[in-house]
Amino acid sequence: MKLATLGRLNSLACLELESLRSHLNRVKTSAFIRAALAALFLIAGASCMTDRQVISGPDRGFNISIEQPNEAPENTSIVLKGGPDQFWKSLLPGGPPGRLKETLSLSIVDEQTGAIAEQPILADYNLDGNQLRLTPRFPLSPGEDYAATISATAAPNTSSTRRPSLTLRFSVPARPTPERPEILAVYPSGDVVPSNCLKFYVQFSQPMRQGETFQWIKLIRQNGVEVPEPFRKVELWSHDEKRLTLWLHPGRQKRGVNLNEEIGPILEKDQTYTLAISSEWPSADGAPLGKPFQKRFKANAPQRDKIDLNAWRLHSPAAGARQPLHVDLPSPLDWALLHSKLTIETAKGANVPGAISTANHETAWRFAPQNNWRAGIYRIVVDAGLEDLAGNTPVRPFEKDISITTDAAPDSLHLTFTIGRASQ
Amino acid sequence: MSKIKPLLCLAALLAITIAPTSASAISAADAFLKNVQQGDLSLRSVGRMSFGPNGLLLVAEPGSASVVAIDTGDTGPVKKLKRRLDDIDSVVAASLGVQKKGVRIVDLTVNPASGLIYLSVTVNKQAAILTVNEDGKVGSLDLKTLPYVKATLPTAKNAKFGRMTDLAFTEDRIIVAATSNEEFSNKIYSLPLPLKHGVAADVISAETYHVAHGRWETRAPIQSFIPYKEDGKNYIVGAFACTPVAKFPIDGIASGAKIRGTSVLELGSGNRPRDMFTYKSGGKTWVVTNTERFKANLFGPSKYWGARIDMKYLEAKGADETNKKAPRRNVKKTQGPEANGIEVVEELFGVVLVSQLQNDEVVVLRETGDTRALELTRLP
Repeated sequence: MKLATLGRLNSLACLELESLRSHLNRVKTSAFIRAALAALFLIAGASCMTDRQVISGPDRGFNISIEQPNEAPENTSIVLKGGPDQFWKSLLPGGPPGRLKETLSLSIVDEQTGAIAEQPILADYNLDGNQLRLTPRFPLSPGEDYAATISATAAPNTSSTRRPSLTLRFSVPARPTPERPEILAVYPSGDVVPSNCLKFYVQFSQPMRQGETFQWIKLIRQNGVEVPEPFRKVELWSHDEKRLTLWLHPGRQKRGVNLNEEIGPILEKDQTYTLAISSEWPSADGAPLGKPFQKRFKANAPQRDKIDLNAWRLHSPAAGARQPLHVDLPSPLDWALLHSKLTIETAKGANVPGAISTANHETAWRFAPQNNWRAGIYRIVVDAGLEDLAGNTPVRPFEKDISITTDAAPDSLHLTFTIGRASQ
Repeated sequence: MSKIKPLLCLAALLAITIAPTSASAISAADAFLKNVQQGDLSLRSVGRMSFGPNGLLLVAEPGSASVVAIDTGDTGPVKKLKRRLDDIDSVVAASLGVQKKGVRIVDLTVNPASGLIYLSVTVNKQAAILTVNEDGKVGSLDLKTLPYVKATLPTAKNAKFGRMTDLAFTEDRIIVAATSNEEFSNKIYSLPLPLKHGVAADVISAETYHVAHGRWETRAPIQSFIPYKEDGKNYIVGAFACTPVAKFPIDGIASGAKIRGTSVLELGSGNRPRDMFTYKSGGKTWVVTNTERFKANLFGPSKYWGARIDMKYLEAKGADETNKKAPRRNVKKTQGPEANGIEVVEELFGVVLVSQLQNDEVVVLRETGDTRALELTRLP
């Protein structure tokens, strides 16, 4: 336990107590509550501490402690002790419902105005003899100010209309300044995309604050004018919450969709655009990016055909080593799907474990086997879900003309290659 | 979002019928869950929510690609929200002890059995489920004690389909729509009841295609859906980001199947459907969807607006009324026959989230100037 904010806490408590005294002088208060509160005895800090400040009163006062574990100050709890027995008897089960919450509450302090929130923090209460412990149901936030309030109206025989009587402010220590996040990569990594490009992946170094993603990202034409509403506003984050999938609105990239027809596509052929990400976008820990990010790219002609596997050029390594298999692609494919939709298997169908990488702006695919290649025939299994930058797959274009009848699409396709014996 | 369907009434009735001869109905855990876990539920994240019968709360946990079913024990009686709760985001933030910017209300659902409102909330890097009672008092669901099961979708390894766009309870299964964060595609998961804790190995997943936009067939993520039964067959009716409403058969599908849907109408461009449900009024059954419009507001004071659609449009079958011939809402006619049976619901202007309490009574999260309010409203 520690008392990180003792000085400030006590001075604030003093001020509040002065307010209380003047308040008590203004209102008619029952003899009991006047006696109890006039004898208020406030100890700020953890119960294990020796440093304490007596605000007022003789030996029959209240004692409020802010218990803040050193290792996890966000797990602060508030403990109320002392006071007359009659006060504690009024809190026993069987009394008016909600009495514990009325007696002791905890609220956050607005960081802008310094006002104490009217809505108290959700908390659990434990009454043990003449001790009441308030434990917030959710951890408090580092760097924030809070206020614990003992209500005069909680005591018996007092008016329910009176304002809270005593407020004790404290802080939860801020964590060390969190590390700034960075944008590690944006895919497609090249500077040319088809004008019906569907998406970008933005890879961050750490999880970013979610829920407001689209306020930080803009698409800007070469004349500096912002493209209106270019994104499908659904936040799609990877499992580790570090990679954002940013969809250019499909309704404007598809033909025949009335949105496309009414206000046109997002990208126009031969135009240059900038994907701009604000420096103010904070990480989940609250640290902003710090510097703006810009990716400039040009839109080329749209891609509307299936991925043609016959155009892939395979460069097979020799047996006996772990040199990667190289596949050169005629145009960039989807970076993420190149890592998940292509696998290698033997002629008998056994999976070959290994590592996948891409190069040359997603026009080169590499597969390095975990073990040395053995001579024989292998297959690249291409899942039907592999996509190019415009959503076309090996088995169907992104937009399929229903007036043309086609055979049922297979789930995967194969490309065969041979690993030959190494020359001696 | 709440999707208590007529079919649920049967399930609830059955559950009650087979209950022991005591005053209390059978619990949701006993009725619909298997291998029930008791307490200490930790949610990595929270997404869409929906209520089943007997206080059964379904919660999407995107972080683990799981459906969490919680027996809340919240079985009524109905106590409706008495007055509007202004600046609900500030109230929620203060309840959680954080500044307003630190919270995000992800979804809203009201328990039709009790009127208690549930909010799924992300708070800084954590998840919480809060409740709002008839008096506007905020509480939290006690995840430390309630019985639950967590059924993980078989995609959990790569979680590409981890974003569950919607989920709903039907008489014999839980249906989940999920979208990929890589492929431009969508999956429908069918989880049989009783729902078992653990990896849901026996789920059926299917990829959906639909014809829309004239001659082009495409894959697309379902934004929201309702289970739908017609001529004894089960369907889901989904609303898509690119605005068609399409119907998919879900009986007898095999895992890995590709289901071709039938587009039955087009809501119009520039809208993103958010919630769907049905209600009865004026002798008709209506499908309601509230959407977020990202173009100029054609319909009213907010980019959030809602429409109701005559249920008969979902029965469309022939080539002359489906797919490329599916009726399009005439955006210049917001009511009457010229609007193709799709009417703007003024009561849903500004509504970001909506959940049905009972028939025409809905709980909404509504934009009110710079803040948002929680309120009970009645549909026309």
